[in-house]
Amino acid sequence: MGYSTISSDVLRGYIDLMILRALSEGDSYGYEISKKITEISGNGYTMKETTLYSAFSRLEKLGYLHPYPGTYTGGRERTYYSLTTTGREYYQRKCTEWDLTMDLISKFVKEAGHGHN
Amino acid sequence: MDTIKTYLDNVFAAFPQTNKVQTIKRDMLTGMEEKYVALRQQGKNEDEAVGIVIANFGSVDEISQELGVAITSPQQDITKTDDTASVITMSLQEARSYLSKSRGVGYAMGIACFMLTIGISTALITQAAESIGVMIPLVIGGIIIMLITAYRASKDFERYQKANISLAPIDHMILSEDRARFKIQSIFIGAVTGIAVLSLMAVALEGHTNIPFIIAVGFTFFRLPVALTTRLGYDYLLGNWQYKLGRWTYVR
Repeated sequence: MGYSTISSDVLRGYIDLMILRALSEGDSYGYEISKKITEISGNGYTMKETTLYSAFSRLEKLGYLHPYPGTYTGGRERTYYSLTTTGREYYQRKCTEWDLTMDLISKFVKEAGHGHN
Repeated sequence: MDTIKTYLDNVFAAFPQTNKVQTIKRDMLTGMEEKYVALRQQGKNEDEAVGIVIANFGSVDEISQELGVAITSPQQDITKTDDTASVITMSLQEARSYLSKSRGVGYAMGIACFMLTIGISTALITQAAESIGVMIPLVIGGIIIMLITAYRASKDFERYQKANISLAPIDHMILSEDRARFKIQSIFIGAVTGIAVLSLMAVALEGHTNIPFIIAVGFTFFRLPVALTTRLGYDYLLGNWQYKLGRWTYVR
């Protein structure tokens, strides 16, 4: 799948949606979230580290994610995230927005298709 | 895995070391290391795994924008340090070719040193009358090679003299590792050279003639300029480096 050809400008608006979706099934941490996103994409897309971690910081500031420290084997610390109630609401809004976006843009795509026929 | 840590250290070197920055850096390191381990378990070798992890790193600008950290633009800084200096952006391949050019000068100088060593030590050890036919061409040949090499090197390296070199962080790191390996080698070469000089003096004082021994000493003196020019090459490439906006820039 050629997801890598999608312009990063197009994806930028939906990075948050992907991360919130990955957290919708329970609390998680950086690598697991990244893995989940790749999995959901059908192994066609991997989010860049800087994209992922700057999004955590942004979503945390907006109050959509709640970070808490946790440890794992070896006694090292890492940050876990849980989805807040406003985070869930935001996710729903983004999903609706995407449906509308797809609805709008697809009209143009189809129109263009008819033009060729 | 150290490569990943060094990579992140370099990337975050230009950031103010606030708690927020340190937490992000720690979480990124943990995440990247976990990804590395998973790739190794999938059968990737060390280099492949590090390559994939670093290729998926992304862009530092995303982090600095999110954290509201201002990193000074490289143009401003270069004008501050040197108005006339140009910047040569080097790929790893170009940096390595620079090193091998620099080492090439060492080889030529090494051959000259080899000839001079054999010529002079033959003269010292044997009676001059017997060996003059061997000695004179060797010494003169050695001096000529040295002069030609020095002249050619001064022309070849002219363009690098005034320029600043810019290397990508990953290339800087790879070369730093090469340099560390080379340093261990050069300590060994240094030790061998020291022993060779002392032995040569001892033999010269006793007045024995030992051709294989002289050749061995000559070979040691051949290695010496090679080690020296390689070292100078690395020092030039990796010397006074400052990390600016995701790239290492050489500042004189």
